[in-house]
Amino acid sequence: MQISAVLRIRSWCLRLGLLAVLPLILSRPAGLGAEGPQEYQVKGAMVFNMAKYVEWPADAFSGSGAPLIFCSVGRGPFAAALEQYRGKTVLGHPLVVRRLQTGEELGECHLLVVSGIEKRYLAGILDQARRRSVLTVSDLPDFARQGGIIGLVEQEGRVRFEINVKAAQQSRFKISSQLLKLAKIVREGDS
Amino acid sequence: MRRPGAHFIRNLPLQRKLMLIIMVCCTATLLVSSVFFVAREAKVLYRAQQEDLVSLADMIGKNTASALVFNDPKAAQETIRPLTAKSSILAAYVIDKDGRLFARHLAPNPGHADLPLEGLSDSASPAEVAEAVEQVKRGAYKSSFISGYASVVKPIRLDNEQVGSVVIHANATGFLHRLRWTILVALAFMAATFLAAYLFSARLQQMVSVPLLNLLDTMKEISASKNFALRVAKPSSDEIGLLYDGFNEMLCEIEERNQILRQRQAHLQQLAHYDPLTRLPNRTLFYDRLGQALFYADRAREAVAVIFIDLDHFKDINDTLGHRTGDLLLIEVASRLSTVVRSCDTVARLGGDEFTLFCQNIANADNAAVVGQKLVSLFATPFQLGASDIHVTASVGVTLFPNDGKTVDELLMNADIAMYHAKGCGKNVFALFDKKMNEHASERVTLLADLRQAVEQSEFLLHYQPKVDLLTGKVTSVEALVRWMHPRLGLLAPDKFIRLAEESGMIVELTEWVMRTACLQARAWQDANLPIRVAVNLSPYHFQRQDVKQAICSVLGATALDPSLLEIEITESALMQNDEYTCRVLGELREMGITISVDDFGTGYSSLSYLHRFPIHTLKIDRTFILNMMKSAEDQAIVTAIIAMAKSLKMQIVAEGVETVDQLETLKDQGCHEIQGFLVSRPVNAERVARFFTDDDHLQLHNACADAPGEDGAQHLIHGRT
Repeated sequence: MQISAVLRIRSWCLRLGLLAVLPLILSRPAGLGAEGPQEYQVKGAMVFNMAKYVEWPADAFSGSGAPLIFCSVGRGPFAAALEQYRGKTVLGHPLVVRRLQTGEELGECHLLVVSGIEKRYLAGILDQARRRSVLTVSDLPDFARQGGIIGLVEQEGRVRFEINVKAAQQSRFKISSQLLKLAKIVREGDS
Repeated sequence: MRRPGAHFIRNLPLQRKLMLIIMVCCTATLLVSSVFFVAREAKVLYRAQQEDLVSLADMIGKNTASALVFNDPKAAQETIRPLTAKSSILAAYVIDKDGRLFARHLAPNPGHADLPLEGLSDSASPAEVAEAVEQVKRGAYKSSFISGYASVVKPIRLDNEQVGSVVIHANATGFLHRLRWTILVALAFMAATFLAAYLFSARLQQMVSVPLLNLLDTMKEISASKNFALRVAKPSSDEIGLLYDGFNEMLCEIEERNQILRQRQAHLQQLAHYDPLTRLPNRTLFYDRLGQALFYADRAREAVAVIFIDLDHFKDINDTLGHRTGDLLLIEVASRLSTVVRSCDTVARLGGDEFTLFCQNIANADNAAVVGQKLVSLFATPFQLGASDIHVTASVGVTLFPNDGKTVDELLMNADIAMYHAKGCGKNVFALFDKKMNEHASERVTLLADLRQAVEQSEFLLHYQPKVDLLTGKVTSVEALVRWMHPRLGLLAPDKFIRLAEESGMIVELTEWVMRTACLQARAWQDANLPIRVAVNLSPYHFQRQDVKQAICSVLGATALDPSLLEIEITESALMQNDEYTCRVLGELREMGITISVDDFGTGYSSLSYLHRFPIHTLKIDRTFILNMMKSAEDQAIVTAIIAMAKSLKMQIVAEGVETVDQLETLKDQGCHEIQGFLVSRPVNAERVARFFTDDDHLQLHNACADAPGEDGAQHLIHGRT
């Protein structure tokens, strides 16, 4: 299963994926402002859409109609931007949004948005997330390089994302080639 | 309002009409099926094309969904760029959720029609884009056939949410090419099928048309040849077969009716031209044939013999033996006549006992005479009718064309005259016509005219011939004999005019006159104390008229004569005809006291067995027997037999025509009662009769009378010798 997925990904990469890396870099500046809640609206939408391209491990859900739980940790407007997706469905799973306190157990979270958190807590959160197979997304700089799975970065006025494929694999996530072809693949420790 | 085409089709020949029907049906079916086939093929091709495009659009949609979601036009552009490898794709557009052009691709080579989205700039408003997309959707089907490009608009979905649309325009030339090919195949198929149907229908229509045309031909043949014996062979058992059957039945009917008609015509012809009794040609046909024969004879300058045959005494045979026998005799005569004539000659029955025949190609009068003699000798052998032999003779008159007449009527009239002449010559002979006969015939006509006046002008007178008792030698009675004092021809004996009187019907008046005159005379004698019985000859005519008794009674009443002084003499044939009536009347007359005698006995055909039933007093033996008695032993025997028979029947016998003493002696020896004849006296007038009774010896008196001068000098000489 994993192998076939990988093969599929590879074939897409060969046909389109590799070429798709360029637009990430060359895309022209968008009208979106880098600051303010507008930016987090975009980021929220990205997180919401990203969930559609990610396959959680088989044991992540108790059933087909089980809720998909979005958790957010840290300060800032990111967590608020997710609120509007509460109740929507992603691939058949009703969306639940939770806000966690720093140091709180991740519990049943499937996706964790990390935003506005102090660096010292990050390692602990990531470690816990990795163990519990929680997809971590953050707009912290070099998030993916520090062991997060998807990092949102700003590039030429547009929000782009980096994916730590290895981290994703470690957490037993399968990320669609459609997403991968738009993303920048990074590794831990890359600069 | 009739369409002009309908009239044309209605008058087409049957074969053309049938072919037309088959071809129209065939073509219509072909057209419909071809159209259906092409339409279906077009649909299939179109669908295949669309499916290709839809799958392509789907693929593009799938691959551009993420780019759309994450707002990455470049990635979308990259995704659709490989379409350039496919030459058939003219353009591909990705439209985002907001309706703006997100990514586009155009084939490098132009040369296609304007595409709806081609002119739009990258920054075109969502409304403009939506309108263009709508235009694509609307014209998707049409454009494939007309504009030459196929279009598909496909929404892009991600997790049941539309995130954009993809529009693809493709070159439709492949589709159109295949469609054209399909149409071509359909047309070729149609043409081939049409040709096959044409050939097939030409054969197929014969199943219907050939039997009908055959029927038509037969019908034409029959109406041309009038041969109703023709029949048509039934080709099948369908409605056409029934038509044939009906036609045949109709022919049968016509033939049958024709046959009946022909039979009836033949029958009518037979009736019109043939005598139903003898089956000989009748007068009409004979006249016709003779007319033709004369026409040809005239041309060929040949002679034709026209012969008239009349049976002698046929009337007596008819009267005495019955009409049935008479008819049978006529049939026999006819068949015997037919045996002697040649095939070219014609024998005909004109009516009654008159036959005619004509012989063509007669060389001369001698030749005709031979025929005449042959005809007469035909009657030499008696005719056998049932058990009895009947001896009948014929008188034959012969005329020759052109000598004796030019026309049919003339020839027949002259043949008739010749025949009468033959009858006048004693019958059973033939006579060739000559001009003198014609004169004689005209004499007859004149005589007939004179006869009509004779009664009124009292030109008749009565002579009386006495009958003498052979034992006593006394005169017993007298027979009244009529004489005609013709102003020009002198005194005429009855044989000159009685037949004429009988033929003209004058006989009735004449007989009445004779009877009245005789009765008046007898009355006068009675008054003079001379009771002399007078015998009067009654014509058979009176018995035919059935007024015998009436006539006699009226005369007796008028003259007041004692009925015992009246004697009635009737001929044998008169006796036999209508024998019941005759028997009754004679009985009544006898009751009145009138004496009845049979005249000319032995010449008729009376059946002796019936003789005794009649109330007859006297038989008068015919003069021919007496005349031949001394020469012929047979006649002598007949006389003896008659006398013997009469005696045994208790009848008186009178011998007529006694002329010699030898005869007298012989008769006396035989036992004959009375005699009458020149030996005793010729017929004399009333005054002389009285003298017979005033003298004792009558024979003596007669001798004395013989010295007196009279008209018949020769007879006196004979008497004188006795």
